Amino acid sequence: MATAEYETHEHDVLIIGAGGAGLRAAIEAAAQGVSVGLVCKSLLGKAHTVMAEGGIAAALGNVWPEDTWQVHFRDTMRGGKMLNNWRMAQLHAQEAPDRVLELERWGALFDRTKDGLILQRDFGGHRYARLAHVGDRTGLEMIRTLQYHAIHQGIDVYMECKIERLIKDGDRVAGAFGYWRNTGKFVLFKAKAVVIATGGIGKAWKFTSNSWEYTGDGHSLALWAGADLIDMEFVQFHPTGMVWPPSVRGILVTEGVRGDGGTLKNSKGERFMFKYIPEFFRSETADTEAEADRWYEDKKNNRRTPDLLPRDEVARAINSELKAGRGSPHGGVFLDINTRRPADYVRKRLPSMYHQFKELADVDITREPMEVGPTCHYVMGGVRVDADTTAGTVKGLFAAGESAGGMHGSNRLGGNSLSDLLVFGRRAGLYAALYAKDFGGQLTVSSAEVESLARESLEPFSRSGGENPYAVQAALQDVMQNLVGLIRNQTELQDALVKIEGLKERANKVRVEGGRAYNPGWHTALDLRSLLTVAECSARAALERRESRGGHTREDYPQLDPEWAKVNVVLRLKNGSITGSREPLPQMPDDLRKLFEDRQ
Amino acid sequence: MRLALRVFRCTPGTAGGDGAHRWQAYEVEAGADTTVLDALVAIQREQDPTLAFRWACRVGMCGSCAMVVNGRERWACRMRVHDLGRVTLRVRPLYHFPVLRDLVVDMAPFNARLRAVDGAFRPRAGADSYALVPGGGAERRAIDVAIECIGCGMCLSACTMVAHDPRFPGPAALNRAFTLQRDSREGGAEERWPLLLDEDALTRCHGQGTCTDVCPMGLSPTDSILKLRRAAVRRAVGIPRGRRPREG
Repeated sequence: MATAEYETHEHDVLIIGAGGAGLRAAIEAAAQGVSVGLVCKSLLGKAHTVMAEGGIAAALGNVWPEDTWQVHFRDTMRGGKMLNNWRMAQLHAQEAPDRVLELERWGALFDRTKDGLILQRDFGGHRYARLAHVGDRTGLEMIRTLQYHAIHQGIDVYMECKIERLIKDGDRVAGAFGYWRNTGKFVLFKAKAVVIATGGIGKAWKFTSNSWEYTGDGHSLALWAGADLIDMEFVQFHPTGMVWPPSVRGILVTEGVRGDGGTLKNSKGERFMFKYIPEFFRSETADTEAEADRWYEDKKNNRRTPDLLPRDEVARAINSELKAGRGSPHGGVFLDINTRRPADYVRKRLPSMYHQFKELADVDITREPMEVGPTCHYVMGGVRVDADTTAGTVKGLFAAGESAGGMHGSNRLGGNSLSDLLVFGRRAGLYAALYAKDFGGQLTVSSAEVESLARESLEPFSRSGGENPYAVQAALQDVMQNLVGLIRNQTELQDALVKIEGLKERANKVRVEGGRAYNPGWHTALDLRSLLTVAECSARAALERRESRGGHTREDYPQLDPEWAKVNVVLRLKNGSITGSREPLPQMPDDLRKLFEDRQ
Repeated sequence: MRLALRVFRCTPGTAGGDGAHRWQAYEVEAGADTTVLDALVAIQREQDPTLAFRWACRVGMCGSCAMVVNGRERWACRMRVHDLGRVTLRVRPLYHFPVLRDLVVDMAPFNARLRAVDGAFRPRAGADSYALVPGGGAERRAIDVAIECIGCGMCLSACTMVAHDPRFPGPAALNRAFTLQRDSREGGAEERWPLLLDEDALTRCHGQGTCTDVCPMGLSPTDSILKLRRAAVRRAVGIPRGRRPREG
């Protein structure tokens, strides 16, 4: 095999990942007049953005004129238990409305109010109905719009191309090395700036809403290139994933079900969420069923139902009900929308959910409740970036979307992801392009380094013995599910780290059969490297943070600890090992701090 | 129950020559809820990690896992084997696309066709940044039933005219064109008409409706094409929208 052969492409800005953030970055960079390459691991348009159901959070104020960026900012910070990078949360809340309207100028059309304005829907943790949406298929509309717009800007798209490693020239990022999944042939991209927009790490868990793609590629590429990651202990377990049948376990049931009137019940028929209202949210949450019921009809004079508490609270509550033995037949709880809403309302507002349950679970959600339980959904942690420019801590590296950290603090509110992709995707594209324009020097890529990466990538073909890469992947998913799940403790986290070390050994010995063309076994063998890296990052950060906050719950440290509110856990590579340190959060200025004092 | 499958295997460019293929037999355990995708994933995980197919979302949102199962285009993730009857499954890649490997096809022809009808939205010059579009209006009702294309390629695989005339844009692209031509916010409609009125475009559809039969999203490209033709006629003879042409 001619192992060292590779083709070379050159761009000013290379964007890795073509979901919402990557596409939006590409559009913005191209608008700056630089040459843009957009690389994606699957086909264009199949990234997880397409699955987003509920909507895009933006304080447009169409349904509630009282809604402003300040309220959105406050909700976001409180949802993240104040650990968010305040500046990111501010920019996000301020710019999201413009990003939504921009999509309409590019051809999207959101659902409308009677007056022809963009309709907004209620979601967990958002004080006002705030999510611009297209039924329960907002992501499809968004990605289609971005995709058509991007393609017509003359961006070079490299589909089904997997990046294995970033290449550096001295202390700068100089490009990326990868392979074509179709042919297995290697490719080198030379670039002045690289934007990481690869999404999440959810494939490291067994029950997950994430597809095969989400193996933490971008997180790992950045870490290996010397960049810092933050907040990797915060993993969002979405409270409502399907639990039955087994083949679809973990698949998402949109929060829109609850936003549109669905309530959670245990096996005794109790609306258990009233028992789990935390002090932090007590003043703004209905504490009786009667008030919660009235809220659906009169939102001005009643407080919102606890079914719509932020996701971390609801997921923990469901977990407690399950532990207490009040679960549904297949190990979930019930989510009931048919009691409150007529069948045609459900079919109109939630068509995808209706068909999903009908076809996959034989459940008619207009007549019977769904069974749901927590599923790994989103990682709040990611590449440590500058809030305004999205620049990472290595020169020439930028990151946006799920692969960037800080924006969501310890817990993300529903609807804040699509807006995050647009706001920071745009910023990443803009500042990467400006960086590339400013950079006047020459970048040199060592061909010896590229050849050595190529040889390393082919090793799984030439090993004898060794196991199927899928076996190692499945073992890792069990470790993370059982030991680094919704509820953690020191003993289990330490155990997880030991087991991950063992799995690294096994991953180094996996063997694959067949040729290089579209070989899923080989792809999995290579993905294991990033999957194991992000698994270790998550476990290590979780062990470090000795408190419970947002998407990180320690049964041995069950309380919020004000001291831990002041620091991020920062991870970086030191002599080849992932090491953690605590570093102070950026301090919020007084005028913003006041937003949290003025109100109840 | 044990489920038997015959799966199309093909590695273009390897010994045996381009396009050489074989049918490989597999057996997996299947329950009442097992989907075609579940069966394929089980094979890939436990028996044969080289078996190539595309998939992503598992719930019919992304359009990655389109293939031909027992003679008909289907999305593997939403197709329960139970509903196919007690038969051996024959699984092969989509028709009318070059096969890259096994069940994976090259989607380039699909994207090329979208480009051939200029599938991107362009806002009308001088338009407001925000259109006051009433949700329930006739325009949106017409567009909304055609808009949710997930780009799976099944319609192209089922379309007989696509095979007959490579220049025919085919159902997905013409359906997309319909959603643009009907959109009052769209600024590129006049420039798009010549593309649609080319002799290899709208007129090539023979109305067999195979695209509509197989569309997993329940869209009707056939209907979109008919509506485009009607609009073309109105445009040619100068009848404004909303007025019926006089009979006889």
